[in-house]
Amino acid sequence: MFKKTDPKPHIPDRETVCVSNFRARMTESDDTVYTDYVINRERNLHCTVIFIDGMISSDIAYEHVLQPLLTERGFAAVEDGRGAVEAIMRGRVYHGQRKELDTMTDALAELLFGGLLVVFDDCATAVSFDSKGFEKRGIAEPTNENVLKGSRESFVESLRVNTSIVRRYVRSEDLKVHQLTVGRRTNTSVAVVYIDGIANSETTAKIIKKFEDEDTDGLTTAGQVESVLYENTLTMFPQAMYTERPDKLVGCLLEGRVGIIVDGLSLAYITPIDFHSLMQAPEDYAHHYVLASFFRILRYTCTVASLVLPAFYVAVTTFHQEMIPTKLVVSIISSKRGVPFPTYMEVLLMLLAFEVLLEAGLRLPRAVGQAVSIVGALVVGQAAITANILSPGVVIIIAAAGITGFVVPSQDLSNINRTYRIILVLFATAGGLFATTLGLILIIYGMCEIEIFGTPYLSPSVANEGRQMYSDTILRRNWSGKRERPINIYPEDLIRQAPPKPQNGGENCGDSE
Amino acid sequence: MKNVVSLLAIVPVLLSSCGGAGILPRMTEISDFEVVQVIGVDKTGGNIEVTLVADRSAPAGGEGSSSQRTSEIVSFTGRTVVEAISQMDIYSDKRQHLGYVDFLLIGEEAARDGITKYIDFFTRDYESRYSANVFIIRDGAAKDFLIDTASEDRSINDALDNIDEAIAELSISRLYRIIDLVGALGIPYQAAIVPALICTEVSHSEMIGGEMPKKIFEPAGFAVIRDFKLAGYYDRELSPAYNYLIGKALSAPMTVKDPSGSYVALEIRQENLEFTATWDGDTLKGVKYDFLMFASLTEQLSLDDIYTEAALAVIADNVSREVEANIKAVIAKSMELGQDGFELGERVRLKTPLKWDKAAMDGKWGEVFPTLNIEVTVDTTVRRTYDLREPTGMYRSKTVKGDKK
Repeated sequence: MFKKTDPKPHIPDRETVCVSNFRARMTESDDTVYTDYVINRERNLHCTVIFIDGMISSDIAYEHVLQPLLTERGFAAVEDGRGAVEAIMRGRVYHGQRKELDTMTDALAELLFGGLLVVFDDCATAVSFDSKGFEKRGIAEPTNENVLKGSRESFVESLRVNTSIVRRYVRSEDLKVHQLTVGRRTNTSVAVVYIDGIANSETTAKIIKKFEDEDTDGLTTAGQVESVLYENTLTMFPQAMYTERPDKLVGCLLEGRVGIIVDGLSLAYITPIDFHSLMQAPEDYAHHYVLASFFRILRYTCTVASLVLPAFYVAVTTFHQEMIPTKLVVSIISSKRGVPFPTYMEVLLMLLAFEVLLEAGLRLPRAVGQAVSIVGALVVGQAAITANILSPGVVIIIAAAGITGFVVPSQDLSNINRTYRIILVLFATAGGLFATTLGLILIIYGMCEIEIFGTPYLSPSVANEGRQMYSDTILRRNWSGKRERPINIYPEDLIRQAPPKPQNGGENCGDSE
Repeated sequence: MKNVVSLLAIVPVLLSSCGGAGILPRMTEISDFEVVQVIGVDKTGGNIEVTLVADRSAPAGGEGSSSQRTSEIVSFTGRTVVEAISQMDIYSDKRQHLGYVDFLLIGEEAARDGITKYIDFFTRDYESRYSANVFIIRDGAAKDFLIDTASEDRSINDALDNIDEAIAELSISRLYRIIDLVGALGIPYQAAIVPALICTEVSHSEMIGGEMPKKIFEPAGFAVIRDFKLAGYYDRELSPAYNYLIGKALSAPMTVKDPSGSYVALEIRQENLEFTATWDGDTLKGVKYDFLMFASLTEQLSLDDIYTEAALAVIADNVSREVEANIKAVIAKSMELGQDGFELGERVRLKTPLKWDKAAMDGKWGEVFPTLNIEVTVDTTVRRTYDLREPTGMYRSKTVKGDKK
């Protein structure tokens, strides 16, 4: 279960399991509790119970381990430590998860993962009982992926809770949870979750190997996980998708993707993905397919609008004025009367102000953050227009770009959108629509260059010879028409459902196409 | 890495355009432009006088207030249109942008002098739009027209925009773009017909409120351009008939008498037009227009029930005769001017292209047209009476008549 081949330099392997060694290794760790017991008074057989305070459940420890250990009559015949260990392993202590350990490395790993150790010095052996009971957050509603119609569960920081939630969704022996440990110091548990027979085995093996080969002192942040998963380090585009919703992860697993759950992070990563995956919201699958397709088209339109609107405004008002209808140009000119800054400067200032407001709103406490937004948007914005520092047209454009940018389901993609928006404004300032188009071509070229575990980033729009072009991309087909899994991630079992059975004289009812 | 290098290589090229010397377009702030929406062109002595109407709209002052659209009218004279317009650059700190010119008004004297030299600049200039509408100012100069019809409360641009609505509802004019004029001037066997506007005095009933202009304007029929010069006009009363002939009429009101001798008002729509050209060998013997009109009864002054087959036939006949008379008046006016002003030659050519070419009519049309036998028939059907079929008070009127007996 745990990685055993990874040597830990500060813990010598194959050392004798004894209390003095534990005390030596865990020196200056005041939360480590050592308690001596005599389990067989007649023969004066000593053992030491070791655990880390706060990481175990006292109920489990006392009722399921210590009580039987001290009161079970079967221990009366035990003569030494070896005999006690054998009695425990035979079931004298009625605890489900027990493990005999004869190396300090294994024993310490168990201790640090919330195990309760019963150490017998005379036979240099410890028995570990899984009695994790540290405080953890309860399952709550997802905060970043709101849901109106669907499950309201979200992942928590505990790996085991998260894997259990996934297990509850997929009650199949094919669901594999490959757990490994990453981080020399943190020993962080990482679970690679996939469905055997659907997920591509090569892709799964590659992902597991990436984590196994990761030699770092700790894996505590989402960025570190992404750095392990990302194959192309030059691009800013997300190469893995994260979600805090188990139902979304399960949906992706059923498509043949692989999930990565990291202990300490209340989210799961999904890979391999394509660009369209980042534009899909879990609720797309809760609505009628026509509605879902409409929302997706809206989302794509808004994403493009958010990206190009400020640049387009700068380009047409600075280089291609003849493109603007007469009444609109009159309105823009009259609104710009008295404004001292050129349009591109106004747009850049507003974009930066927008970013500052966004950052301030995120960093400050929620109540104060709202106040900052109100002050920024209303007071400063209105005052800037009244004082002729900014023209109303620019404020409208930036506000429209900002609002449309928020419809992107992936926060990572939204952030990149905002960054490229500023870069495109610089392009537009330099050369109008010509340069803006050039900038867009460079962005699309950059996206074409990305490949995630063999999946082209823009597939199935490219590289699939038109296959599954509209199956689940900009449009969403109905369930009965979605027979195949995405072929761009090379699932081992392409067919996900049988063809719809003819009803009512050969016609489909319900939401069939 | 190659991408980054490529990007770094491209950016300096892009930035080089900021000074205006690069390969990319020159940067100009939109607020540095003067938006010119109407241009008037006149003949002044031997020179050309150009009148520009520049927008001077003020932004909204605050919550609840609306922006005010006003305009500034300036005139400059030069030997050419360019010379006149270039003087505007000295007068104003802004650059004149002709890309928003929606209306080009040509004074009558300039039109009589020869229209081509006054429009050449606007067809050649890269900023000017071919979609700008052209009007001839009847009995006056464009400059006077613009000054007299403008006021602080009424933008001339907005007023001219309203012409569009009059065209749709009354068929008393039409929109004629520069590109249409250029095309018409290039056809050797056809006159260019440009809509005309005229200034009229403001009467008491037209005083609505606010500061009114000295004069108002209204459509004044169509100007006939023969050999690039203004030759005459189709009067406003004939405008619907002219539009019927060229198939551009949308709707036109008409008043005729019903069987009782009272007036009825009708809305006339052109349903169909059958055109035939009769040839005898290489000689065009004559042409025939068969109009099918569709009339709707919009008002009835009498109290009689006129929704009978016989009464409607009388009304339809009256409409047909009136329309036919007007169409024939347009044809007669064209004959009088000696110029095909209603696209008859083009219609014949499209109908019988081989015979047209064989007869070399391109060069002969000017001689053939004035003596051509043109027949016109009009057939009208009254189809609707809108919300009412019988006039209000019809039954009561019968009782009243009976009581008197």
